[in-house]
Amino acid sequence: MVFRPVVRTMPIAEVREKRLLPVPGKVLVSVGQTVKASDVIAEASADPRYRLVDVARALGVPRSKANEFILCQPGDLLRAGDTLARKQGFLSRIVRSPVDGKVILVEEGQILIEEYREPYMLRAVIPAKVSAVIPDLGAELATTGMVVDGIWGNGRYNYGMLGAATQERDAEITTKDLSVEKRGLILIASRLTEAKVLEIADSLPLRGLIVGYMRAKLVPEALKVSFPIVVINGFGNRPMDSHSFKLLTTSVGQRVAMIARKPHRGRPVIVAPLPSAEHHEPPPDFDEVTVGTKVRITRAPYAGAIGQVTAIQPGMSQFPSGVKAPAAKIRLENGELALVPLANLEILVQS
Amino acid sequence: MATSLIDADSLLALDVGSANTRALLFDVVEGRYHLIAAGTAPTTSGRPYDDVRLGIQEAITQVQNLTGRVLLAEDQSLIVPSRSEAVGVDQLVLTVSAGGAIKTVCVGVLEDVSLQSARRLASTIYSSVEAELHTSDKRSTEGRINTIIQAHPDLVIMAGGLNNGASRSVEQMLEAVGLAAYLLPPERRFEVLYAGNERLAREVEETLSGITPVHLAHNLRPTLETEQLEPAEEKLLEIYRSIRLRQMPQLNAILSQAAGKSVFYPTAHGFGRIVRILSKIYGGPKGVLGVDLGAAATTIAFAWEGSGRQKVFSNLGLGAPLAKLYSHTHIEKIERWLPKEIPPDEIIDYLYNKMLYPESVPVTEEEVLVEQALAREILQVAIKRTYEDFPKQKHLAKGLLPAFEPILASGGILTKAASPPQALMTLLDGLQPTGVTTFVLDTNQLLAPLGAAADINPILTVQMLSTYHLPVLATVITPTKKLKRLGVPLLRAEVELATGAKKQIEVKSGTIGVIGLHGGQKARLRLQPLHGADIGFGAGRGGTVNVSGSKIGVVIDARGRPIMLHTDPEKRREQISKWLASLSRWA
Repeated sequence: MVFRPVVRTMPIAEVREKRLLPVPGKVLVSVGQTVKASDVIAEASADPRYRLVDVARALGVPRSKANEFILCQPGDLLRAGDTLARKQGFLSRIVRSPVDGKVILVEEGQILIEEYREPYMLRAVIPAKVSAVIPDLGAELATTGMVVDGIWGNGRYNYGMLGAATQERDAEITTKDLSVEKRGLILIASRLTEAKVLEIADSLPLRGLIVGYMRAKLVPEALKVSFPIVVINGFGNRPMDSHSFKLLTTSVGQRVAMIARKPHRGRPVIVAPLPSAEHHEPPPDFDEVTVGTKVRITRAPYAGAIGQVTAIQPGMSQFPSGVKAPAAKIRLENGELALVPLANLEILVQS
Repeated sequence: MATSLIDADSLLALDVGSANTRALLFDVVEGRYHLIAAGTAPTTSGRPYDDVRLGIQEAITQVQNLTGRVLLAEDQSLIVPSRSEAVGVDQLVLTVSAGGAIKTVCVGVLEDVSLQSARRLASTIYSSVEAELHTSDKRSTEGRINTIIQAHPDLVIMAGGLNNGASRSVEQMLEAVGLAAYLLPPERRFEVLYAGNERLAREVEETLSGITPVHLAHNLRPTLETEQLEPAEEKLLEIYRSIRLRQMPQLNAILSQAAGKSVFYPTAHGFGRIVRILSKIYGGPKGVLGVDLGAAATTIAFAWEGSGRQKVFSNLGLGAPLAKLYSHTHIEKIERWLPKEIPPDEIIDYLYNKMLYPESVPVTEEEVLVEQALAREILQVAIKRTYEDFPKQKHLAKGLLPAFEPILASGGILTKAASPPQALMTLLDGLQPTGVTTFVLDTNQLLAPLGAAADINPILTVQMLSTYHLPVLATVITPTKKLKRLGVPLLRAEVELATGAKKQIEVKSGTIGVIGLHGGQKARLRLQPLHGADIGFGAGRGGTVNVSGSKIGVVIDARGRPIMLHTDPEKRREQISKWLASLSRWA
């Protein structure tokens, strides 16, 4: 029995997406609630900073006596400049809060303050219904619509209208494809190889960019841009797989949600919510590879190719490089029969 | 005389790697332990599976299919103990390298003393040091608190202060660690391992115990000159186990099915232990070196006469960590090992694709070449960072690997290489050994499970080591010298076969020579290094060694140390192709 991950390239499906905070926080929605893309569904103090104010030293008094001069207590909210401690006398001394924040501890002449920082706000991104609440972390959102899974994202998200940068699946996006009328769109492009494209796209700005393949050397720039980028197939200079390209380009004009998760947080995803009267069972996250399974190949020489399993080879198969691995025979879309390691396959679900 | 094994226990070893999970069944046949069968399946601890049991059950199912022995009950639970020869197994060994590295903050007093020891301790398990604190780091207490909190650690290792020595500095650090723990919500608090000034142990425990789990161990540096990691290593193992079982709760279920009959270790620890056992068996002045190049981490284990340890590089592996290889090296350093021109852009694409699909297999010649070049560079980075841990070798120039016998190699890239010469070339370039050594391949990746098994079934470990012959990749003789010129004779050898036949060979600098000697064949070599080269007997001194053959033969690596590569890319590629061809000529 061989299990492989399932990837969705589906025109209509039931989509259930977990939207989770990076650290525990407060969930602001409840089950059954309808949310818009821009709604904040949870928030957290993701990057707290603390200040330790040494009152004893500032007032020049022994640590054991410093508490007598402290005017705040744990839980107090502070503004920068608020008085924390005061020593009256001929030369009165005052210790002020260096930041806006909250008093956490007052002990041995020291005050520990948690700085006020804007909370991290988790937005729904997908207009959907809350199907489950994950305590302290977020919610599962459910909708129906088109869904395409990617493999790499730059950690950003957005919701907007889909547009095509190029019409040809073989074409690469260039700066010429980024005219001013593309401003505010989520653009589909087959491949991306030039850093300049990202620079111009960021200045337009685009609302998002979906590419089949991207040169890995562009990762540092891709992480810096203000809009989400989803890579569907992998890194390199190849065209997007035919099914994803067709499905995405036929959806031009629709509003889509882009959740460009970074690899360690799961697969990035593109969802275009569409009404559907029918019930569509969501596909599993992984499944068994059997004869007839539709697959997408992840590695050279057939990277991005789509085909169907015609046989699972017994034992180990040897490849031209000399490497041996369990493998399957795949009938590719162009009719070619390819021997591919099972580890280089993803199961493609289209309906 | 064979030990009586009438009541011997059968043993199932499960090794959960980050890419593959393996099941190995050992049992007694004709009075001795043997490896009965092995099964392999992709590891399913991560996304999208999120259940490590799927991969384990698949690997065990393969063993069942091969042997006809029923190991899993209908509900897929492990049958322990065995009910008959055909049903169940008596003992379970679990080794795990899958799962993210344990995020660690190391805290010491002096950067070069206690902090260094804390860092060394952390490197014995799969950990990533996210931050380091010491008294001279110029951070205020609030800076230290913020550093710890922002590191999101699973573990803080605290060292510092000689026994009965400094206490104020340790207390300052304790204040920051305690406050950081206090400020985190209880479910996100880290564990603390304190291995500093033992006089303060009680104070540390009293300060922290109400806030966060605290573990006490003997001081890593009881005196300035002494470093003792072992007692703290045991505590660290306990912490590793508890964190890993929290992250992979399904492992608990598997271990509980074999309660009292099971052990659980990080794979690297099992590997380190077997290297220590072997160094005791071999004895002698040379140590034993083990390298395990995995998808998520690289382990270098070393030992002399039973004493040594393992060093785990959780940021160096042929899977997920590849994209970060940049921070340790340059693309040119990977490119230099390629016998063919492959544009840097494609190498970078390869790194990132392998990170996305760590379990995928290279199929094209180019991809195999890139993967082997990456393996060489990873080994180079890892071994160079291990030099500081080796005992000083008087006669050896700085920056050279001490002589080891043997060098054990584990990890799919090496054990499943397309050909033995490719595996050897990767090891020679990556490790750059000196003197006379034998490379041994851990083909079935048995060593780590055998090391872990020594805990509950030492007879099995000892018998397997004596009866299971790990395949010898090749004996390698390295006349060590920093080369100034190529094409100069560097070693003369007289080969005397067991039949009495003799022949002379001469190997020139910058080349690799191979003495054709089949596996099973033995020969005596009279070696005479030239121009002051050293084969382990001292500069320019010759000697006699007995060698055994292998698929590749006996290799004389006269490429200099460090290996002298052409600066011209075209000539360098030619050079690398020639070296590989030399190794392959006889294989």
